[in-house]
Amino acid sequence: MKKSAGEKGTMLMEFVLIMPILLFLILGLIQLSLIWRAKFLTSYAAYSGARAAIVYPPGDQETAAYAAACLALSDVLHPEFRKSSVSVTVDTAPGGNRNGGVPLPAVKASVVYRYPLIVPYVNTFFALAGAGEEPQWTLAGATAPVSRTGRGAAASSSGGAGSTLAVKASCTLPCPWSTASFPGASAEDKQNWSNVQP
Amino acid sequence: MSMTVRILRFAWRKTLSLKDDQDGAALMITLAVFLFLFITVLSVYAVGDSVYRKIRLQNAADAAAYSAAVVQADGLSRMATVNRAMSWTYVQMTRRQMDYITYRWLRLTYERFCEDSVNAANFYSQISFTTVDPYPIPTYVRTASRRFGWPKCKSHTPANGWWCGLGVDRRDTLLLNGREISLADLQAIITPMMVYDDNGGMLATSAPAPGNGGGDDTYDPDETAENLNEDLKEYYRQSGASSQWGSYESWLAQYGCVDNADGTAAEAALEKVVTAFTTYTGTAYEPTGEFYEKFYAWYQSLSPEQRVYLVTGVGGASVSAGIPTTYPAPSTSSSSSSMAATAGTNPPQSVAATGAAAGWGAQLGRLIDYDKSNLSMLNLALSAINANMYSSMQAAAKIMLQKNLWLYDRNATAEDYRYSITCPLAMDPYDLNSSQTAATFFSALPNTEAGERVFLEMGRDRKNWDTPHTTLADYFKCEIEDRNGSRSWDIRQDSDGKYQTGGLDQWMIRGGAQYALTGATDQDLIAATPLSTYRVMPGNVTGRQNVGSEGDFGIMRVYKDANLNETGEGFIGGLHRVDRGNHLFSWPGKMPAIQLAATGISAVDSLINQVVDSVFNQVFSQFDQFLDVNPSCVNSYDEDAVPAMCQTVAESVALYSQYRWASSKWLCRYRIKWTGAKFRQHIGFPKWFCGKPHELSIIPAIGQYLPPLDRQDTDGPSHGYLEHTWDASGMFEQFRQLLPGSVFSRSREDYRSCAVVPSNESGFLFVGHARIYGDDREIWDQRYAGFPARPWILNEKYFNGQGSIIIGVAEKQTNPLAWLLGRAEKGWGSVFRQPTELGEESNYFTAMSAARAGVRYPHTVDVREYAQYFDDSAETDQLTWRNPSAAADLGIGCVCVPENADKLARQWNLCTPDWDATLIPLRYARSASRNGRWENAGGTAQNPFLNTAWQRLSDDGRPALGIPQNRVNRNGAMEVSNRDLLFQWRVY
Repeated sequence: MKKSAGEKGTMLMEFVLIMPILLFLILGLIQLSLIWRAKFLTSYAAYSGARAAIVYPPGDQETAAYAAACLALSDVLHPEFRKSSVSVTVDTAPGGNRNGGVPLPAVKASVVYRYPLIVPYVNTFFALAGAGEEPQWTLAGATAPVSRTGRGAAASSSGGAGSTLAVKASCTLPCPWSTASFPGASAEDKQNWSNVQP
Repeated sequence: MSMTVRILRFAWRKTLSLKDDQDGAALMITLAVFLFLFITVLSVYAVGDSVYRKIRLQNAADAAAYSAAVVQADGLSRMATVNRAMSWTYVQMTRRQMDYITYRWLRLTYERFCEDSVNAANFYSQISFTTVDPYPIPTYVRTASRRFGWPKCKSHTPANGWWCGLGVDRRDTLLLNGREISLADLQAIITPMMVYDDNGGMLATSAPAPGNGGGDDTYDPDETAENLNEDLKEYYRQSGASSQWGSYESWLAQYGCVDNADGTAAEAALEKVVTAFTTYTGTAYEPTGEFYEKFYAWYQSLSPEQRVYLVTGVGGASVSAGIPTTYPAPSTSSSSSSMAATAGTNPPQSVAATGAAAGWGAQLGRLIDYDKSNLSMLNLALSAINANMYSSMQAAAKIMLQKNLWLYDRNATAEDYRYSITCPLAMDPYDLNSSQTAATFFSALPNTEAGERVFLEMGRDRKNWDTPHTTLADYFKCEIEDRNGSRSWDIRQDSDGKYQTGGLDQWMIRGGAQYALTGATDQDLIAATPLSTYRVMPGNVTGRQNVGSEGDFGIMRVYKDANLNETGEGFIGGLHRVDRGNHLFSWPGKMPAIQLAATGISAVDSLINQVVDSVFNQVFSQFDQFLDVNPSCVNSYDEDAVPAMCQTVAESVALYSQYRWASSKWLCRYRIKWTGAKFRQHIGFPKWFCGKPHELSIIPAIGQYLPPLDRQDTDGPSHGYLEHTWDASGMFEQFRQLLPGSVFSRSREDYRSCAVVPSNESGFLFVGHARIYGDDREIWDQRYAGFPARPWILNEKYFNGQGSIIIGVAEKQTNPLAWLLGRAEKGWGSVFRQPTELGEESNYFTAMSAARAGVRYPHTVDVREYAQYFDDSAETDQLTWRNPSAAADLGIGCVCVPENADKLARQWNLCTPDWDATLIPLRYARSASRNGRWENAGGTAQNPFLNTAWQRLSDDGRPALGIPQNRVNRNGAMEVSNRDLLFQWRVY
C-alpha cells in the first residue's frame, strides 16, 4: 500500500505543529516532577532543620538546622545539590502573632531552596510562573547561586536557562523546653556541619 | 528447548523486523517518552512516600524517647522529693537527738555535780595535807604544798568552775556553760524532763534536792566545808602551829591568798623555795637545779602505778574517811500524776516549748526512733523508685512505638518494624564496690561533714540562694552577741552579711577544740610544753588573746572524715590536723612516739623525752580500750549497734553521724614556776553556741542558763565553734601522757582527781582532772546514733551519656520501586536507597532519637529551661575552702560562701522535683556534656547501638517489663548481640 505525497506532507505538518506543544508538555511534566520532588525534599529538609533546632542552644540552632537541611537535601539531590542554594531561618517563638502574642512552645524552621530549573525550554516558563501569585514559587533567577560548578554552572551560563525556583517549606515542631541550658555543639561538629556539601 | 527460549527468540525476531517497518516508529517514541514520564511521576510519589515515612518514623522514635524521658524525669523528681524529705527528717532527728542528749546530759551533770563536789573537798583535803600515803609525796613537794596552800584560794573564783561550785560559800551553785545556775534551779529544770525514763517507764518524780538528803551519801556543802576546815586545823595543829591557825580563814589571810588578788604574795613565798632548786641564768630560771634533778629522779624511780598515784594525787577517792565519795543516782520513787496525762503521746512542740509538758525529755527517745524508722523507709524509697523508673522507661518507649507504628499500620506484620531501646540503668550507689561505683551515674553522699552540708542544703530554698530555707534557718537562730555587745536574735551571719547555714554544728556543742594560745599569759607555759602542741583547733586564728580551750569536750558529732584537714593546720606538731570526732583518740598507729619526736617533741629535754616515750607506749597501747571518751568505732562498746560507723571511708555510707559527748571537769591547775606560784583555776565545761536555744527548741528552760555567744573573735566568723575563753588548754594532753591506759577505766568508781605533771622548763604542773565523761554507759543509748540517711546524687556520668535514652526504630521498605531505583548511592534514585545498617536485613528505613531528663536550675525558675550538662566547676576541689575575707575558716565548700553556693546550686541536682524530659542530639547521647558544651568522648562519636539487639515490634500485647535483652551492664557497656547498627552521622 502506497501513501500519497499529500498525506506525507500532512503528517509532517501535523508533526511540526504538534511537536512543540507535545515537547513542551513532556518537558513541562518532567520539570514539574522535579519541582515536586524538590518540594517534598524541601519539606523534609525543613523538618530536619526543625528537628535539629530543638536540641541545640540558641547559639547553634541556625547552624544545626542549616546543616540538617542541607544534609537532607543533598542525600537525594546529590550531585545537583548546592549548599549555597539553601537558606534556613529558625523561629524559636513561632505563632506569637497569631496567638495573642504568646509564643508557642515550638521551634519553626523555614527553608528556602533555590532549586535550579534544568529542563530546557520550560524552565523559564516555570520560573516566570513561579513569579506569579503563588507565594512559595517565586522567581529567583537573577539571584542564582554564585558558586555553582559543573553542570549547574553550564546551565546557568546558557541564558535564561539558569533560572531557579525558590522552593519554600517550613516545619514547626513542639519544643516544650528551652534549649538555653543545652550544651553547644563542639567545634569539631561545627566544622563537620560546614562541610556539608556534595 | 524450553518455552522461555522460544518466547525470547520470537520476541527477538519481531524486534528485528521493526527496523523494516516505519509504521511503529512514532509509537515506539511515544512509548519511550511516556515510560520515562511514568517513572518520573512515580519518583515523585516515591520521594513523597519516603519523606512521609521517614518523618513518621522519626516522630515515632522521638515520641518513644521523649516518653521514656518523661518517665525518667518523673522518677528523678520523685527521688529529689525523697531526698528533700530525707533531709528534713534528718534535721528533725538531729534536733531531737540534741535535745535528747542534752536532757540526759543535764541530768547526769546534776547528779555528778553533787558527787564531785564531795570529791573535790576530798581532794583538797588530801593533796596537801594527808600524811598517810601509800606513795608518799616527797617532802619538798609536800612542803611546797603546805607552804603555798593548795586549798582553793583563788582557784575557785566565781565564773570559773562548777566542779566545786562557785566558791567556798557558793558550792550549791555551778557554772553551766558560763552561766551560774543553782542546783535547785537545775533540779527544777531536770525534774519535768525526767518523769519518765527513756523507755517510757517512770524514773523519778523529781531530781533529788541538793544538800538535803542527809547522811553520808548526801552532798552538803556546808558540812564539806566544815570538814575541810577541820582537816586543815587538825593538820596545822599537829604540825605545831595550832595556836597560829585558829581558823582556816586566818590561814588564808596569813598567806595572802585572800587579800592579794594577783597572787604575788604567794608567788614570792614560793620563790623562796623554788629558787633553792633552780639556777637563775639572768633571764630565766632554768630547771637544772637540785629540785629539778631530784624530782625527776624520783619520778622515774616510780613504778607506773606509783606514777598514777602521783598523778592522781591521792590515788583514789576513798582515802579520806568520813567524806562521802559517792552520790546516789536519782532513785525511782512514786509515780506522778502527770504520767497518765502524757504517757504515750508525743510532746507537742508548742507545749514542750513552754516547758510545761512533764516527761517530754524522756519521750524524745521514741520520736527519735520514729525518725530513724522514717529514714530507713526513705532509703528504701530511693531504691524502689530507681528500679521502677528503669522498667517504666522501657515500657513507655515500647508502648509509644507500638502505638505510633505497629498499631497504626493495620497491615503491618512483625517483620515490618524493628526497634532498639537503650534505657539507662543505674545501680544503687550504696550497694556497689569501688569499681561499680565508678560505673553508675548515681553518687553516694559520703559520710563526711561536707557531705552533710550538701545534704542539708537539699532542703534549701533554691530560688534565692542568699536566703536560707525559712524553716531550716530557724534551727540556726540564736541570740548572738556581736563584738559591740549588742545582741540580736537572728541567724548567724558571717562578716559579709551572708547567712551561715553550714551545718548543724552551728547549734551543736562541739568539743575537743583548743585554739592557739597567744599572749603573755601562762598560756605561754602551755605553748612551751611539749605536748601542748596537741592543738585540736586551728592554730592560725590570730588576734586572740588568751584564747584557750573551747570548753574541753562537749557533745560531738562524729563523721567518717573527722580527721579531715580543714585549715591546713593540724593536730600534731607540724601536721596540725583538725582532729575531732571518732579518730580523736585512736592513738595506735596514728601517733607513735617516733612521730612525736619528729614533730617537736625532740626539741625538749631528753629526759622528758624518755618519760614521754615510755609513758606513751604504755598509754597509747591501751588508750583505745579504756578511755571512755574514745569515740572511735573500734572502741565503741556497742559496735554491733552502729556497724555503719565502723566502715571505712571508702565504703562509707552516707550521713551516719553519732553523737558522742565528753566533758572534762578540771579540778585544779597549779602552775608552779620557778619564779613563783601562780594559781589558776581551770574548770571548763562545754559551752553552747547560742545564748538561747534555737527558736524551736524544746528545751527553752535550759537556754536561759546557757551563755550567749561570746564573740571574742574580731576576725570574723569562726564557723560556729564554741567561742569562749577557757584556759584549761593542754591540761588534758599533759595529763594523759602520764597515764597508762589502765587508769582510764570506765568505771566511775575509779575516780582520779589531780595530776602532777613535770614540765621541762618552768617547773611542774599540778593539773586537776576530775574525769572525762564520754560515751558514758550510764546515759548512752542507740538514740545517740542516728540512722544512715542515704540520699542519691546524680553525678557527671549521667550527663556524660549514661543517663541518655536512645531509641532506634526501623521500618521495612515496601515501595516496589525501591528494587528498581534504589541502587544509586547518590542522586536521582537514591531516595529509594536502602540503609545498610541492619546488615542482612537491609531493606529498612531507620530513625533514631535520644532523650534525657534535665534539671531546671534555680535561675530559670520561670523558664522551662532544663540543663543537660554537668557543671564540674562545683566539684569539691573547685570550691572555696575558706572565706578569704576572714581569718577564720568556714569549712569545706561551705555554702555560706556565695560562690560556693552558686556552684553547688548546679551540682546538687537531685533536690528539686523540677525535672523534665528533653530530646538531645543523638550524636551526643553517648558523649560528655560538661560545662555547657558537648565533648565527644575520645574524639569519636560513640555508637549507642553497637552490639545492641534489634527486636521485632511484635503484637505481644504489652511490652515486656523487666530487664530487656539490650540491658546495660554495670560497667555501662551493652551486652553483645549479633546485629549492630552502625552509628550514622547525623546532625540531630
